[in-house]
Amino acid sequence: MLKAIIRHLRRIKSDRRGVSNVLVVMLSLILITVIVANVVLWSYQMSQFDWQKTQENVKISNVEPLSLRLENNSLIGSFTEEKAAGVEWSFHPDVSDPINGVIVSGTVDDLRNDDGSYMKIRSSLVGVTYYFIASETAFTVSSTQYSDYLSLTFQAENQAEYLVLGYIELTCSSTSRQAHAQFVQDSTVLARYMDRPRVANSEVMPQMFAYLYEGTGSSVTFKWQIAVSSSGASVTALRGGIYAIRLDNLPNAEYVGVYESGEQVNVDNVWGNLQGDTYEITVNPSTAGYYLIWASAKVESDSTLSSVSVRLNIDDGVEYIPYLVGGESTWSYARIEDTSTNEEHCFAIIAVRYFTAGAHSIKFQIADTDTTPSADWQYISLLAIRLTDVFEFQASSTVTQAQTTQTTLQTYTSLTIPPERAGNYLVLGGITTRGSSTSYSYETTLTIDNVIYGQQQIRPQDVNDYVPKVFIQNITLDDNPHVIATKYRSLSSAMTVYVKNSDVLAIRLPPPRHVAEVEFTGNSNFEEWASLNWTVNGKCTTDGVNATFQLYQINEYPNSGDGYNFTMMGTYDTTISQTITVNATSFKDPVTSVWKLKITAVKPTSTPFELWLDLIELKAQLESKTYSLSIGGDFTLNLTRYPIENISFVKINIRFKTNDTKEQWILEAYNWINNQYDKIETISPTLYFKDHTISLENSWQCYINPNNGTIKLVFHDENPDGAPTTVSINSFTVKVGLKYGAIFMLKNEGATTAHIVALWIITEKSHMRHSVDFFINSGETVDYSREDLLLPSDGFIIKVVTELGNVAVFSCG
Amino acid sequence: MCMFLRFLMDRRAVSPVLSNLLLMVVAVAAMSIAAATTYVVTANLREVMGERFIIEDVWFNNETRVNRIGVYIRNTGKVAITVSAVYINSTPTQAFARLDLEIGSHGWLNITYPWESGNVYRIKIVTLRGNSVEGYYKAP
Repeated sequence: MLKAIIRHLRRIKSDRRGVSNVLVVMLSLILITVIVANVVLWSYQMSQFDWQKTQENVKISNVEPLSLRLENNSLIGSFTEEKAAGVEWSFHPDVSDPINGVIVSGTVDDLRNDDGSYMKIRSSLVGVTYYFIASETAFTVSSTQYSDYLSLTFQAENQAEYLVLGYIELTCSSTSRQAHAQFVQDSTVLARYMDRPRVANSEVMPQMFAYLYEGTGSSVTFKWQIAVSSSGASVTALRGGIYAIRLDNLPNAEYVGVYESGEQVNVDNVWGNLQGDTYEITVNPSTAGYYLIWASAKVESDSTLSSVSVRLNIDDGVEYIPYLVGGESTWSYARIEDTSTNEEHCFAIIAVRYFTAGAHSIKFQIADTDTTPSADWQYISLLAIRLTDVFEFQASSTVTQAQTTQTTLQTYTSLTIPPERAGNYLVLGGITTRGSSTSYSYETTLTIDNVIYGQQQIRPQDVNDYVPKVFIQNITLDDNPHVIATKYRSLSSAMTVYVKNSDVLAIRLPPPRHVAEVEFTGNSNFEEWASLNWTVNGKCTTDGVNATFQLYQINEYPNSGDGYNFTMMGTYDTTISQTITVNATSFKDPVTSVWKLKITAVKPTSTPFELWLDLIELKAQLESKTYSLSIGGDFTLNLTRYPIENISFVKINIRFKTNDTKEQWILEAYNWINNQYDKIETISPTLYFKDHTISLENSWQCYINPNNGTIKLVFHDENPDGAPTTVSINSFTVKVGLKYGAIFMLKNEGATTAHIVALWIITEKSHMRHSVDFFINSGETVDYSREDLLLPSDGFIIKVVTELGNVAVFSCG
Repeated sequence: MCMFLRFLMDRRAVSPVLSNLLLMVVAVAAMSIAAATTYVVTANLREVMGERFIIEDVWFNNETRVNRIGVYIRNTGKVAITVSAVYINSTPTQAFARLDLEIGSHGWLNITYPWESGNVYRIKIVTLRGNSVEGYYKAP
């Protein structure tokens, strides 16, 4: 084999023509190959081009003017008809009754419309103007010269009437000295007491005073001053207070008082037979009510062997205070015997009594208990102050005598302040006591929630003596129940202590404020109301007025919820409106059908203001038995971008179904020129989803707000019916066609991506070519829009040309 | 070394070498001419094959009060084209301006022709390389 190859090579080597032949053949083959390859490859490329072109298949499915699709998603969903509005009545007040304040102008007729015609109510001052100072800090003096313990100074209005009360508790370090206390107005002594203890240091001797003071328009000062009767002993003030409450500016204020600073001496043992042994005041209520009776005086028997006796005599013996326990002598009302003739005792009695309309006599009387007329009294103060309709107060009274030998405090009279009456209080507790032994002491107290705020300890000089005292204390009570009580105990079980005639009075002292408060009443009807809407419109002549609106419901004015509203009113117009859907009929009297509304405007100020009411209206609706539905919404067109001039049509598309087809459905559009809704279309519903397209035709301009582009549509049932139909809407749009602009809907049905390069709009008179540049993937549908094109109104042809040269044609019109 | 010395010493070797060289030169020259000719031939062939154009639109108009047929042509091929001839109803017409279109270019070819509304015209556009596109168009 190898030999044969070598032989052939040698033959070629020896053949001198062989090389050139081979070269020529090879070169020729190469040349032919290049030519053929060039032609074939090029042909292949062009064939591929042509093949791609044949694969291309673009179609124009639609061409239409450019339009906008406005949506409102709140209109999409399922909606069920609700009960339709029933018959409605309007009521206005017929009568106005000012509770606080006065009507300065206007009548209830001005409350019928919100028209700027007002009923004006000027406020009045409500609350109590008062001043006080109180101390529980011990203050000791050993001087016979009076020293100030407490001092209250305030600016008293000219001719204003003030109830001034003073209270002080004293101890003395000696049983042979008197503790002196005097109550002073500026430099005038109003009351002076000199009390000697029978037990040094621990015997607490309360002193008190009250009288009516008429202001002079200048500053006034009231003081408690204390001293000791002679040196070598000391007097300590444990607790005290001075209170001044203005009476004359309170609503329905009524008060009467007598005060005598001079001393009446040597009174005999006959009641009411001498001038100066009786002081009398008369109350003459126009309406029945409760009164506070205060009686106090410095008394002295001027004897260590007999007592001085005092009493209150109401209506000439109808009632004596303190009362006489059966079998006791005629002088056992209240009495005391001097331990020393230097003593000058403080007696004070209070009573809260109910007086009927008409004149009532109140007498404060003194008598000696024996035939030697030695009884003296001075600084006599007898007051009667109306409580009912003037103060917020609570009182409790016990007359019948009780007794104990217990050494723990026993409650005699108690008063509970409920949580809703929290606030500042002035508390007065009066009690009359007696001890059965001159060897032991007993104690009486005023307690609030078991804390002692007033205290008396006394060892009797005479076992028949009854000592009347009044404790006075100011306190702030929170919104928990609180118990105020007078209590008593014996300090030794060997002695019996007796108590009678105790009155506890708590007067609430709300801060002064101006109030305009009116109750309105009106007639209504006897129908069963399904709902009630009440509206009040008004304003005040000042800002920052707290206004409460209460619609009377079943025997009370509500303080929350339906029928109650609270708001801040000012000089701006304010409307209060509330709709009551539960138990609306309960806001009128079931018998008379009268309704009541109370409006209370309060401002913590001393300056009057006016409440101006413009409208008070109650709208009551009868319960409906039919169902209806109205769905409405706004569609907004951007007029800045698409001015009305560029709009060619407006169409509404709604796709909906209902669960019954018993009633027609109405589409309405708001006409901005006529300012009302126009019925656009009546649509018969179907049980399956169906598209409905409604054109606004040539009047579409009326339905577009020229200022903000709003289109307001309402879709509702034709008439209320007895079945609650459910309507399901899955499309609710507004289509706004534009004059300029067109949208070309193209679909590439070919197998390759098409590159669109030209768009023709051809009419009889023009052939307009527009260069475009976009691609459509195979199988894709494209909505190609141009805002710069104006589609011809008449017939036209649209051509779309691809890069590869295919042309799709669409003919319109 | 031995063969090289023998080749130098062989006086008969000059003629065959020259003849061989001359033969090679002649062969190369002939091949060059053949290659150049081939290139020219294939390039022309390639241009003819790569020519594509379409008629996007035909507009029978008389905007200038002269009846014209506007033919909008776009060059979709791989080479520039020049419209060299137009046949309407198989009759050549010279009433048009020469239109040169680069690759991807397009433009109107305005043919002055007394067309009549409602008639159908067979319009054939022929390029310089002899390619043509033709179609029937009805005057509106």
